[in-house]
Amino acid sequence: MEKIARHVERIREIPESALPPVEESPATPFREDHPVAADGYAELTANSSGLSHRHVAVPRVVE
Amino acid sequence: VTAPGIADSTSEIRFRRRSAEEHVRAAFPEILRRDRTVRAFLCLDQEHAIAQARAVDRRIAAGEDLPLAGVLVAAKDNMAVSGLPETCASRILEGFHPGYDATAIARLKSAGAIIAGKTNLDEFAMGSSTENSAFFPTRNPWDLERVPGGSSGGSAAAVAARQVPASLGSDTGGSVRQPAALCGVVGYKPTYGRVSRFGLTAFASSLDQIGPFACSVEDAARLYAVMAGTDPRDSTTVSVPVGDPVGACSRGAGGLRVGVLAEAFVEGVDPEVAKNFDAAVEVLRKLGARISSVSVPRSPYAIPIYYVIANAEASSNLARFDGIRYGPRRPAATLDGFYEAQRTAGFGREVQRRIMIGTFALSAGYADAYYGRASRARALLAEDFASAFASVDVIVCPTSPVPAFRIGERSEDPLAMYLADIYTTPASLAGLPAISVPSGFSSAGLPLGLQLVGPRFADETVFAGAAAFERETRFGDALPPVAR
Repeated sequence: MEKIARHVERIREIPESALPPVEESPATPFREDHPVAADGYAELTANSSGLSHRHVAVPRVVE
Repeated sequence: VTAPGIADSTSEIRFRRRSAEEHVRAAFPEILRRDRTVRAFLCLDQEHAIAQARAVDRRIAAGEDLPLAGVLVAAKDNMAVSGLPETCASRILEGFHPGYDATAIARLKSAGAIIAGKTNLDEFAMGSSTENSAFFPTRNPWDLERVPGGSSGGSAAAVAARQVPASLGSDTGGSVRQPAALCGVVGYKPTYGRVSRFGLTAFASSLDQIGPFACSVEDAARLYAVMAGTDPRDSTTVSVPVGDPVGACSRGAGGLRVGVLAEAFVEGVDPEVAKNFDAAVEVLRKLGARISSVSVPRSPYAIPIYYVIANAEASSNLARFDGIRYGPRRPAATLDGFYEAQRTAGFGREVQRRIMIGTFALSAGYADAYYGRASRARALLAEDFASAFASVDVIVCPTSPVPAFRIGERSEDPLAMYLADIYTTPASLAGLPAISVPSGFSSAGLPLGLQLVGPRFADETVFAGAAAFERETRFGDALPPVAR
């Protein structure tokens, strides 16, 4: 790891004046929340792996 | 028996002189026999291939004209193929079946290609020798005691051994071009954004590109032409027209402005590689190319820049492999302990080393000094290339500073292994198209490669120059002992 670290340090040999300026990343834009109508139960069950007593059945994890 | 080129392979099937199923049944025994020594494949599934072949036969019977009808293609085991497992040569993904096709695979299948199996690689594509596979090293068909290069060593070896006429690899810092050179086949890395990365397990997302291996430049162009193009599932793909890469192969090199990389001869370059490169430049001159020297001043910094950026991205991308979604679970008392147990047992030494380097490069207090500085230096390197391409059409240099080395020779010295990518990382960092074409043999009979690099989206120019060189030299026609 020391040899690798020393090699990586070579990027410091490039003079600061030659490098393009630091670009500040723009902040992540937050979108406004917009409530939408949805039939939660129908959507959930349509995308579920199966139902048990009207609840989504989570597949058993076998170790 | 040797696997024919793509044009030979397809014509019999397209014109219905032989069915794709017959072709697959005839090819598989030899693929399996050769793999007993080369060990290019992690997974070979004849029944899966036959099922694909039957589908191809049905489409041909229905009147479809398929440009890659019946062509057996091997895929590096870091891209999704429906019906086959995917390991990335890592224990952490054992038992994972993606259940869908990567876009590149889907496009090849749509053109009639048949996926023969999944090939070995350095774990998560991290390495230059395929020794970092968690399962076994692949052997170079030209000398079974030597490495095939990496990280796409299995795909390169499978084509070199003529098990299949073509294969796919992924190139992050040279992982298609370097093994192509060491195995004596053609390997192509497209311009970044040309080929969709959807379904390719991410290593370093700003660098990864899928590229073909083949026995000839024209065959590599055929695969590229099918795979390239925009994909709504990968926002980094570009809508620049692909053009006619296969047609470009017959253009010739007359008048091509070829720049010889002034920084090519660095410390550690094998004298035979240097001599071979000089001879290759003379061939291009004889073909009518206009040769000049061109400088890319920051190219000597490409390795440190690459190993900061690629490892930083890898440390983020590989965070998803925590034992929750993929792979076997090892018991632990706490959640932190659970993550530690999975990642300690699941990742090999090189992957752990790179995650540590990348995490350090991104850590608070060091990110500006390492990741930030490397990103700015990368932009400078891209500007250097842009300036160089104002006066030349392609830049040439050796693909690898050394021929294939012995298995185990460099495995305890990771820095020496990293330096195998000294000629390939600059084009990767700048997102440029680059090809490795066979350029001859060392005195020990090991293949050597010439690399041609073009400006962004000048993929056709790169194919044109490489094909002209290939027609004149025909080094790629030589067969390794295992394929004779």
